[in-house]
Amino acid sequence: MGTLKFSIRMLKKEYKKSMVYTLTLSLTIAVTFLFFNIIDNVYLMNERHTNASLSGIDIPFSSTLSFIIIIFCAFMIIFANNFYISRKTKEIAIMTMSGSGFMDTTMYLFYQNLIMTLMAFPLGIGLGAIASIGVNQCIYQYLSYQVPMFYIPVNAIFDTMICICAIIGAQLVYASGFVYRKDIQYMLSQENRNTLKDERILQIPTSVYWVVYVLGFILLVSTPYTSSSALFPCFIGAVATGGMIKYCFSSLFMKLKQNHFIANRLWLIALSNLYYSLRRAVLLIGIYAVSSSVMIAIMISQQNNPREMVTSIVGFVVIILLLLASILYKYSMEATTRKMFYYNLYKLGYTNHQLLSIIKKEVSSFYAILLGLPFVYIIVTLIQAFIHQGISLEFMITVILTQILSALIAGVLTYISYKNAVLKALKEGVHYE
Amino acid sequence: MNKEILVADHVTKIYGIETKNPVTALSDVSLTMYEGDFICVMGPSGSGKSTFINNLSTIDVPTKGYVYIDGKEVRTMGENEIGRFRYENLGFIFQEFNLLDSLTIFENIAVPLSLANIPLQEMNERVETVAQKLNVHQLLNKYPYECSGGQRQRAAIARALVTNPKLIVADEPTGNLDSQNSHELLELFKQLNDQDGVSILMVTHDSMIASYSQKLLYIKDGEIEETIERGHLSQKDYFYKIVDVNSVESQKLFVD
Repeated sequence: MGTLKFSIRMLKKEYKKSMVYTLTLSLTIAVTFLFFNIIDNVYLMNERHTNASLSGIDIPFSSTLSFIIIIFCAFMIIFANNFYISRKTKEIAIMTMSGSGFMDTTMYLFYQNLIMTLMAFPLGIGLGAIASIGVNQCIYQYLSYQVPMFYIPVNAIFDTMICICAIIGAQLVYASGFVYRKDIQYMLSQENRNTLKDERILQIPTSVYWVVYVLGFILLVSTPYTSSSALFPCFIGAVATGGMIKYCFSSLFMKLKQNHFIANRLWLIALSNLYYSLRRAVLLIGIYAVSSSVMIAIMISQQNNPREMVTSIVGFVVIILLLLASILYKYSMEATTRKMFYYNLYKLGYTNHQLLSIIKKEVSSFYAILLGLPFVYIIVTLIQAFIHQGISLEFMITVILTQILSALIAGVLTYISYKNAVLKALKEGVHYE
Repeated sequence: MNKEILVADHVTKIYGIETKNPVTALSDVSLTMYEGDFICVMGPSGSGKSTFINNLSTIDVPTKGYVYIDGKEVRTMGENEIGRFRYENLGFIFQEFNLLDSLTIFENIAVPLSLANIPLQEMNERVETVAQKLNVHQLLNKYPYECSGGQRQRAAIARALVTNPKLIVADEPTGNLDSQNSHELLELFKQLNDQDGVSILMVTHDSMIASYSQKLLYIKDGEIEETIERGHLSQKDYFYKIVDVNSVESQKLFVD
């Protein structure tokens, strides 16, 4: 009972951390619900285009796609949860030092997760229901169906609930593993840990990642065009992007600093922080690269199947937004750990204006890289489809604008959140120290 | 008489002045610091030592009273002017080293030089020179987390010295060092003070470390309770006087 009380108390005390995570959870539940709504929609069920078969059972493509997106949402929840737990290590360490056993600590994390999920669930279902009504209307209008405006399949709620229960189970396993593996010393220093060590067993030369990135591009350009020919090269490019960020950018940025920016008071700091931010978000950046290019390739391949096409468009928008929201969340959390860093710069003689300029340079470069690395592939994929498959110019421009604008909005929000965290530290000054 | 570089005139600092429970961290404190001074600040935890040096070194602004730097009142200086003053004249050294984690040791040392728009060639030379002096030249391409505590503190000192500052402000600089590294650091401070005329304002808890200074301010409850000048005393006698001041404070606990 003590563990439950303590977990509720800490949840209240650290409501800001919990609130952002709960909102992320709600958003992901909403998306899960939205795609279960497509799978379970009886009006769409009979009319779906079938292009896959498993043991004789026809699987509509839009259902397959929805299912993949739901899996993706589950992954996002687990990812957000892992990050959330990694920011709670100090209290776990204090619990352990105070005599709490493995089960108590695991249950502590489980209770908190459960409470946040219980809060996020109705909110997520509500948001999902509103989004579903809008999306359904678009699909019905596009397909000229006459369906009651507020029809939402009840099964979608149950399916979402089952899915979330499974995720909570997975979270419990992860939390127990985390508590079991990490010692007190590690957990006490984890929240402010800024080390980026190369822990590869096999040290692949950094040039290999560049070569793979270029190779993927050559494959994309040289492979004879089919509706799905872009998928494999885009995947290769996305994998190379992750490797480049993780292992090549370190030396690249170091050279840039040594040769051009060592005497530049703003870029010297911005580039150093940028590398850290990229490394911290490398998994999300990799997924962003893969999913954006793959979803675009899927949209192109479904040009002649209106229903599947609409599902792909919804999937594309939702995945991009969900990933950007996750990147924004992670970046904002990282920014809170850099307060002391900026306060030290202030002590060294940097003005507030210069500090904000550093943040602006870092954030804009981050989103430029996030967008830029897969963009080369995306542009070529779209141009090829434009030439061979006759996708409209409007479609091409819309896709490009969707990517740029969404990243731009995420960038602005990241900057605001980062700026506020730093300005607060500077305002608090010696209090913070 | 040396030139005045820093004057604190009846400085008071109150935190949370708009709240129900304002805290007076400093109360009506005055000090004049001249070029070449080596002043040490001691006192119990929470007595206002760090607040005192933060207010004197433009990190914080007094609630009442004035701080003059080279004859100019801090509050009349613009943000850019204060920033410039810091990187041109002050060298900060802290207990927690405060190196920037995402920068290499070389880049950390070079930060004040890049702020001062020093050309690249000169920057490299100055960083190399100060790194040699502090024996961190072999660490220049490493990151702070790859260095030991003593190495990090030496790198932080190199950063503080690279601009040839007029005044070093050190807040518990030996707090995370072993005794050998602590005394090496103080020998360096003494050398800078004696030979290069660098002024030093240092906070410490350690009477032995404080005995390297020329003047000691004992702060308690936000007020300067006692000032001791070393004068012609040997370091040993000066140390005993410092110990006396501290032990009197401890003995009062039993009397009360």
